[in-house]
Amino acid sequence: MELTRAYKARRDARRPRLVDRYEILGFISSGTYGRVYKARSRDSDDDGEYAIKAFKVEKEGESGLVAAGISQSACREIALCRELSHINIMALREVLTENHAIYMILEYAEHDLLQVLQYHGHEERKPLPELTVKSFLWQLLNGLAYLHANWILHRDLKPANILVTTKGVVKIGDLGLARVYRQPLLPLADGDRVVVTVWYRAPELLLGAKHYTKAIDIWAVGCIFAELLTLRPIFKSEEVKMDGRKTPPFQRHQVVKIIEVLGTPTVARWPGVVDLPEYSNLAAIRDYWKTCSSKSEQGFDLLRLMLEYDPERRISADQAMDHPYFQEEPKPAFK
Amino acid sequence: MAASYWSSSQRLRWLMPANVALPGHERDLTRVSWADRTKLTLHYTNVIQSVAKRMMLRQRVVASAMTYFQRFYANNAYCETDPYPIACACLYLAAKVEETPHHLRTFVNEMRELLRHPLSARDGTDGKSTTANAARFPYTSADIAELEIYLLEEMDFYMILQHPYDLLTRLCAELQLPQSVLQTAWFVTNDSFRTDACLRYPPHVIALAALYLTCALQPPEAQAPASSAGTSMGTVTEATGGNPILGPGSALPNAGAPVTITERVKDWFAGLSTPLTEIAEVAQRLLAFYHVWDSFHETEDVSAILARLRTPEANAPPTAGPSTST
Repeated sequence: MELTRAYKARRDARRPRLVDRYEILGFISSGTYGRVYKARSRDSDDDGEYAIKAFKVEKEGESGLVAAGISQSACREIALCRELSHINIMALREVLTENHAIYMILEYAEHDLLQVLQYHGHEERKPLPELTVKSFLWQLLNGLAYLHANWILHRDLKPANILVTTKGVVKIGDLGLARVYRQPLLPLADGDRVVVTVWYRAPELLLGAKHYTKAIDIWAVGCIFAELLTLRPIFKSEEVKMDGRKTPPFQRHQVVKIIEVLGTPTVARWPGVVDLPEYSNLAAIRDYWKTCSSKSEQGFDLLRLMLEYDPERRISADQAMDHPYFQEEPKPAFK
Repeated sequence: MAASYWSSSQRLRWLMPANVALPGHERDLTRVSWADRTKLTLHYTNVIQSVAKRMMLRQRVVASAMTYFQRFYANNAYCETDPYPIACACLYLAAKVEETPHHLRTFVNEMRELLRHPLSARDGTDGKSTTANAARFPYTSADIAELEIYLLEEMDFYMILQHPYDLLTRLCAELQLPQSVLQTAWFVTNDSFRTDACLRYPPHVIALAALYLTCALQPPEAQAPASSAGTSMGTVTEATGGNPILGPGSALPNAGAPVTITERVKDWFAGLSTPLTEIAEVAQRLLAFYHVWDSFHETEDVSAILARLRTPEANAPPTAGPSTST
């Protein structure tokens, strides 16, 4: 005990203080994980702005809470961000600790896609230019292709987690649910019973698949693509809350929303699905496309490929980037 | 990272030159010999292995935990810290990073249970006193939670690791080696994490060295095809310590090839792009380590070495009990 105390004291004495390194400029947001602040480096050679993510101290225990180390989500986010380096992934500059709390110093991005969508949907009330949509989509796919090439599933892609700098560069953020999926020691569904926010959740997840693949991230990108074109979520359901249940409830309304647009998945379209009543309304997605701001046939084709029911048949990020939609005018910026 | 060792933090941030002394080791080596320090590492990694076995954790988790432990002690000394709670924090974090998390209190309870008894009768006044029991692992969950952050800080928050096991398995399949070779090489790989080889060499070099050592000391032809190389660490020590299992010739289907497996493996090693000198260096380190292990008597050695390590120099009373903690 004494040796441990002495070690900690030595370490504490050596540690620079967060406030000596960074000037906190303001509060950005908070969530279950903790809080995010905007900050500036006190290093005169560094004029960059940063987002400081301060994690809450975790607790566990039946009788009274005791400190339980860093959360699985903080652990994932830090472990993964520490390895990744890509223009379209939120960069982690360093990690600091102070008084048993952990701070991630992330690059700062002014906006997120949720803000962009809300601004155009409510204030402007006019569609996003196709050039903008295509540029966001291409960069999003570019970042996702990098994650997938590194055997990482994001598992929580949604507009709020996709950041955009003032220069229009897309940064995929919040890797708190992300994980490496190569050679898992346990089936993916054993670790986390619910992944992806319900509106962006792929049908195989909604139908309770034990094993799933990177196709779940593509589904979410498909939903975001549609949302960029129409300024409203493509599959917007009322989520069934857990309400103390041990197992996640069936998200009936979300499945209905998807079927309204895509038709009922048939065995022919999705051989893995055998328990669902046979139904087919292939024309439905055509009707939906008429409400989209884009009139591009290629755009429709890409959306269809991303929202393919069968995860085995769903397009990959790499393939999507090569889709003719991106060859058509207007061509995406940043390519 | 997961896709490429070459762009991983394991290579770019945590790969140390083979022959540069580590500051943490240096401070211990002013007090005890290299062999004695190695015995302590053996003891602490035994603790990690035992707790992992009790909790049925996978080998990948154990390998990560031992690597974290080696990273921590690259810059810290046994004489200045208590390694038991560090070992516990390493396992707890490794289980999280490998996506097989368990409650912190489970790790703490298992550590306490394992370290319930004093190392040797000399340690406790009567060998079973409760104060002596509490002394070896008096830590609570809150203590370990706190130390986890110090551990992360020591590692500069780099946690993702690649291990030699995948490559080893693929190599043995590619070279059509008998199952017993894979098994022995697998155990040798496990043992490599008890040395600082995991800080100094890439995982593929360790896999190659384990295979090289296995084939050199236990020629595949000399192995019974159905022989199990043993499941305990002790068996590995024996096997690689010059006691090969002399069974009938291998029943490997060799498609009438005129060369023996050993010759084939030798040729294959000769054609590698990885320098043989690196592989030989790791093999040398492992042999030196096994040599120490052969003369290791855990219960007596550890308390004696700790006594020498932890007593203040000059006025050290020669028979004082070790101050493992308190």
